Amino acid sequence: MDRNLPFKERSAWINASIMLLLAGYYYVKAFSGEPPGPAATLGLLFQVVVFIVVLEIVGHIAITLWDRRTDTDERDKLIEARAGNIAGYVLGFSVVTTIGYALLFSAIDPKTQMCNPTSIASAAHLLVLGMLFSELTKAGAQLVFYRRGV
Amino acid sequence: MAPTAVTNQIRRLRFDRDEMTQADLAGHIGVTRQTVNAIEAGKYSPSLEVAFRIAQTFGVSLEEVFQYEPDRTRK
Repeated sequence: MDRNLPFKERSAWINASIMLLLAGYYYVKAFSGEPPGPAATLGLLFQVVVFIVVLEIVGHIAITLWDRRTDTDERDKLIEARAGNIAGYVLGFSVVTTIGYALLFSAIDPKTQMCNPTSIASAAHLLVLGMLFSELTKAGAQLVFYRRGV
Repeated sequence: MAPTAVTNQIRRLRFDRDEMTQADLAGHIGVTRQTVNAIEAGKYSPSLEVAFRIAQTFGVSLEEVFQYEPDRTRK
């Protein structure tokens, strides 16, 4: 990694890498093989949150040791705000998609009058993947703005 | 086309001031060296406050540092 990069750009590289890695991990765990039920989904979600926290801390310690300058300015804030705006659209789209999925495919069992647990878990997976892609989009947009200008 | 319609003379002004470095200018105006580099390259238009600080650092008017060229904006 280039030592001349601003702290926020280095941070965006770390975020993009972590989100790409975890989105892939989550997709494989959630959609390969037998679909996990709500309890397993909650466990997977907890796992992903712990991974994010640990990897973000380790990653940011590493980039700070690499170059101790962590100062930010108005350009960093503008880039973060614009990237966050784009990420908001991705998150909104994933929420609407999940609502649509839940309404269309979460059929209620006539005997128990309860939703199919697998459908509920799938809706949760869609939402989690949407959140991960939203963060990935934010980091990606930041990197594009740093390179192309804003 | 560049992302901003604002051009500037910062590089020339730096060299006219005993080859002031981007880091020195950044220190004077309170931004990072990378932001000074982005302003010089026309990749970022600074806020009015930073623009005035740049002009003040060089002791010139704002118009001597920045020029507006609307045809230069990226389509």
